[in-house]
Amino acid sequence: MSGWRALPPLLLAVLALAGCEGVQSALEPQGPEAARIALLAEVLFVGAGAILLLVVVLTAIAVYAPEARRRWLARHRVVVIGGILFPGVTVSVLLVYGLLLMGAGEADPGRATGAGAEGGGSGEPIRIAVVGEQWWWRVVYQEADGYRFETANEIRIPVGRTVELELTTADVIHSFWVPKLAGKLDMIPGRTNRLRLAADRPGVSRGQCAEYCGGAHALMAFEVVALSETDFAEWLELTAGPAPEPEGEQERRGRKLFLAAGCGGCHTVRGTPAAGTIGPDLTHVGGRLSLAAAILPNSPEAFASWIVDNQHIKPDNRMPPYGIFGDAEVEAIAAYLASLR
Amino acid sequence: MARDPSERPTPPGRPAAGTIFYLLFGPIVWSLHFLAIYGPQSLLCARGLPEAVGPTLMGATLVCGLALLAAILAPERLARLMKAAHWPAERQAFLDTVMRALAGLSLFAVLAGGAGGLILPACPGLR
Amino acid sequence: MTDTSDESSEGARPGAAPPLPNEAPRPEGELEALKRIWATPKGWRVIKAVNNTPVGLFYTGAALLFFLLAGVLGLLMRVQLAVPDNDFLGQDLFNQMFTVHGTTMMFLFAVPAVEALGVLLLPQMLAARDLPFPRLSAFAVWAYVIGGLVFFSTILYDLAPDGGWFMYPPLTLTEFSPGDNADFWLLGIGFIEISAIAGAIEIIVGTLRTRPPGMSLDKMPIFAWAMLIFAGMIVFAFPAVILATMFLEIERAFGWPIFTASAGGDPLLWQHLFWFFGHPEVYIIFLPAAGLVSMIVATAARRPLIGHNLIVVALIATGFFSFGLWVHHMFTTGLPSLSLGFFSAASMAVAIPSGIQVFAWIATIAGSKQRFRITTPSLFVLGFLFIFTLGGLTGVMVAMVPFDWQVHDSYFVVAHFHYVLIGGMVFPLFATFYHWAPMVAKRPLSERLGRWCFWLMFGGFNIAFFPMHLAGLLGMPRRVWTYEGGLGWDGYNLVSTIGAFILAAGVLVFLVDLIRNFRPGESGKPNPWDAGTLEWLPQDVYATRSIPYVTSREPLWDQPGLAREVAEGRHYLPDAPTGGRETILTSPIEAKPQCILQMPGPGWSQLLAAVFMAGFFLLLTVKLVIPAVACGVAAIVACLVWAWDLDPGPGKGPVSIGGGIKLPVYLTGPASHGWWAMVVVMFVGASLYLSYVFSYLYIWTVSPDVWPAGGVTPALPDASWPLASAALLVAAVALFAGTGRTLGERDRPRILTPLLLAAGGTCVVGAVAIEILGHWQSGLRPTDSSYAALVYMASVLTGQVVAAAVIMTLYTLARHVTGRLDRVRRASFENTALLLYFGAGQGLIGLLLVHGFPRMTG
Repeated sequence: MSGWRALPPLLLAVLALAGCEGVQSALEPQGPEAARIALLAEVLFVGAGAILLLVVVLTAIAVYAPEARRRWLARHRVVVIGGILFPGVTVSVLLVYGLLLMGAGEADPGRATGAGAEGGGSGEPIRIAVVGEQWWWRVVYQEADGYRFETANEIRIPVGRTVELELTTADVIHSFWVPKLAGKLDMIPGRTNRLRLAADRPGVSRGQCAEYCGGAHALMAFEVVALSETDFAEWLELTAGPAPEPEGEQERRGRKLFLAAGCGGCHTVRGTPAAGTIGPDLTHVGGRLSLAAAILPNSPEAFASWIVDNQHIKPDNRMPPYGIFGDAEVEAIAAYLASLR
Repeated sequence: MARDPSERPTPPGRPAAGTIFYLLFGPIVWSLHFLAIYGPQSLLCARGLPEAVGPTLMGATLVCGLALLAAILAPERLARLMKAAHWPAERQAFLDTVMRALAGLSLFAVLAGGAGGLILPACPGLR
Repeated sequence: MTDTSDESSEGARPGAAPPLPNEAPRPEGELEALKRIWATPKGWRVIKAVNNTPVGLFYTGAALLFFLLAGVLGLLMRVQLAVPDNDFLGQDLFNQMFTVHGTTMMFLFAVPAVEALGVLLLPQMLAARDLPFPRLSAFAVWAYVIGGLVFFSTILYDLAPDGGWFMYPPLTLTEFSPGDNADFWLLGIGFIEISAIAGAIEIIVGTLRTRPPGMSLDKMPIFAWAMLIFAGMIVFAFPAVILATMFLEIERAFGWPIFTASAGGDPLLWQHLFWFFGHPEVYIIFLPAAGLVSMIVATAARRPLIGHNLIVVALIATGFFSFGLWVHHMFTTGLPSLSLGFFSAASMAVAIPSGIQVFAWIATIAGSKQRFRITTPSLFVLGFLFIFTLGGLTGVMVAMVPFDWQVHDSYFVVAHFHYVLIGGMVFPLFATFYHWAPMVAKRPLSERLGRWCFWLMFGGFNIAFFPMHLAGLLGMPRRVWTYEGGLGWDGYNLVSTIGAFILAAGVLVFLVDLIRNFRPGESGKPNPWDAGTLEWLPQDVYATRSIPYVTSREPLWDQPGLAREVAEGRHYLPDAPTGGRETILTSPIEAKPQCILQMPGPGWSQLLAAVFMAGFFLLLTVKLVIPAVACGVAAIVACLVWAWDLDPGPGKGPVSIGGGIKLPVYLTGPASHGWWAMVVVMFVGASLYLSYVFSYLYIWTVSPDVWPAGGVTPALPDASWPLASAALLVAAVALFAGTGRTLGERDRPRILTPLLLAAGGTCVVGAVAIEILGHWQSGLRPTDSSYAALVYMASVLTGQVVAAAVIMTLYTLARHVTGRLDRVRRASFENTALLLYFGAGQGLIGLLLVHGFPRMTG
């Protein structure tokens, strides 16, 4: 099998090239569920590697060894031991491991489902509704006092607190996946799935839709930003409130154009007449890490190109391209949106 | 050798179907077990009766497990029961070996299916 | 299948060599007659051919063509994904391409390729002159070739489906996929599934009823076991996806809301039905390939398989357990953990049979006489062993539910299933091409090119697909037409693309070899590998000169001189006693000769049936209803013309096949091959209906509120409606049972026979009509809710069986009028009656479900 022998060095070289840009990697966990699965993955890889090696060595002996050296393999008993007993024991162990792991999340602090939930020490879970839409994510924070506010394509959570995500869809099936925090869970019409996860340190995790949802499925990502408890409280305070008033002349002109051109038919900017609910809420869009479901950087230039050229950037999305604006107008709107921090 | 099998009257009691079902006894019991655990679990959870899931699951596993054990231990009785016991020795040995090995694998699968009930709660999604 | 049995134990042969059944030399003209009777039509008329060798070659060739076409799509997609933010293909085209790539590889390449090998190799391995229903396999091929080419060509004019090969609703409902694209998938693939089922019927009856005398079940070659189980799995798995396709197409076309959540439907029902087919599908593809590997390993080791019986056990166990894995594809849908546990358990259990086979092959290789022979086929087998083991191990990983939560729908899974499918099926297929080419061609393929082919394919495959595991773990989801750079995926994707082209180069070498060396014909060396099974007997258009008496699993190794004896015509049936095509029908367990099976020769009817049926489905797709109906009628007419000659009657028998055995040339009842085929058809129907019952109960668990007790739906019709319908169904059965007794002597038809037949047919039609009318008058409309749609679906499903039974009843009437139906010559009537009984039984169960269940649950 010399074709195989050539592989590992090549792969190593590629690994080195790729570096460690693991912002979406299941192997670099940032929360307890992902950590448990990453450990499971390591166990599986080592075990599978050993079994594969065993099969390759036995096959090599069977093919190349002189008759006296391979005769011991040519027995019915080998089939029974190697083919029935060995896999039987292995899969039994794995099955029990897997079943235990499925229930393991229940023991995480603050995750118990029953009446004893408060005993976990991490307080009430944060409740966030996430709605999959073709091809972006509507995010609705539901505060303990019943206040709800909307944002999009970015979820901020405090470190160490359990977050309960209520996953639904507005159209087709999507799947919510942030590899660094947890395994994926589908968003299915007519159902509400609940995913509880937590981050154990601050940082950004990238997530992406994992169930093919039509046209621009590839361009439906998002970010989960884990913040310290105090940073989170600060952000929450800011984001729950209305949009900031524009400060510069350019921004004020941008707001006027934004409202006059009917952008508010689809988008909400709290504190202005724009109250549409078809597209993402833009109240604090300038404060987000990225734009258009994590496919563009957050910059005035990106806003500008999206407004004019969105059907090229994300084909088939429901926003029409706005060719009617002149360059200066686009720039003004972009500046306004970028100022909505 | 049988010079002219076509002229002999059909001997009764040796239908192929019985023999085929005998051969496949193990996996057929496994299929029934699978139905008997998955079906009721889905229905009971949908109807809000999670406490009935455990007993159904354990009962089905016990019954199917014992049936498979019996088949492994007493193949000749099962063969007679299913009218699959009248073949020439060489054929009978083949049928018995295959049936018992299949029943053994099915027993493993039945127990593995039942194992979940010991570890996991009846209905929640646990995510 | 209850009474097929003159299987007696006293017939067992003692060890001493008995005299051979026939004398040599054979009378003059016998060989010429065989050649004339079995001659393949010349020139372009070869499309009329029905014999398994030409049909098997068309079949294999077409499958290979689709493999290449879908492979080119794969390469184009790899080019698109070679670098981040690429716009080589663009979103729409890429989405169509991965849909067509997956669909073609699964439905137009893998399953047909395996069926093709069954058609090509099985009769030879069983030393049968042909499969029992030659025109059926010819029909299956043409249906598949025409349907497949039209389906594939949609990619060329932007009409291809783009919902992914598993076509999940609601994405594939009209709201989100308004064009005809999705309909091409539903009707095109639905049609090809029918062809797969036709092939499965052929293979089941072929392996159980056309084995050579003496080849009892324990002596059957592993490939025949694998094909038998393969075909059995098709019978139970395909109906689920056919039902799902019917549901989806009906919802798209007529708005019956089975998958729409807002009307009480559930998109997850599609996933249950699709994967109830889709997971066994993987094993449907793999088992025959594993069977081929077993055959090649034994040949290259020049010894019988170690653990033969355990391999049989493994094949059967895989066949069953694979039906308990379907939710394996739905671990991330949020089902209860315990349900996932059941499926995880079955996924683990199915690993053991694979373990058995891997170790049986290793043991057999280790037990080689001299050394394990390294040739191109055995290289492909060793490559298979490595790739498949790796794919199996990642399969165990994804069976671990929490691990699957991470890797599901990521590139890890893309890597996994390519390891399992290319490793588990394509490598054995190429081994098969190299191993069995000498059986159908004048000379073998080139060993030198073969080795190039292997190493390029093996290296390229691993370079292409191994990095995908890593890309997936780093978070790359599948089915993305582009990706952002800098996420750690760039390098792996580039390597994958390079590997894909190396793999393609290997396939190209194979094509060169094929063009240079592959010449179909019979003049090659009969047994170049010194193999032990019957396909290596000297062959001609009529298959073997005589049909051997078999006393071992590897007759060519254990029965010295067999090839010579067979070629001299000294075994059974060295001639053509009825003057037409025929083979020996044997009993299912002991393989005792029971009958001479008369078979049809070349003809147009099966070809026209395939063309018109394809026309029907495809015209329906593009909503040309009237031409579609015309094609449908033409297809039915062609089928009836085809069926007209299939019930020849006992006129020419009994005849002698040698060894003092005289066999009838006509059988009816449970021992006949037609009856067996009908029973298999009934299993298909039963499986379809069980899927329906599952759907009904499943939707009830999701949305009990749209059932009559929920208040929004009208109450069930009064009990007199279902009782009247049930009474008519019972009456139809009684009338048909009575018809069987009225059949008279030849040339003395009775007037009662057609009257009873007509009355029986009218009764079943009436029963279905009353059931539909009952619901209609209660105010229920199929578009109201998922419940309403399911209620009417029960009648649709029974209605289609009844429609078929009525057409067959009319056919039987025609047989009677033309004097082709009597007390002895009654196969036509028996098959019609079986179908009618089945339809009536299904109708009664449907009435019980639709009218009983809501009353019971209140």
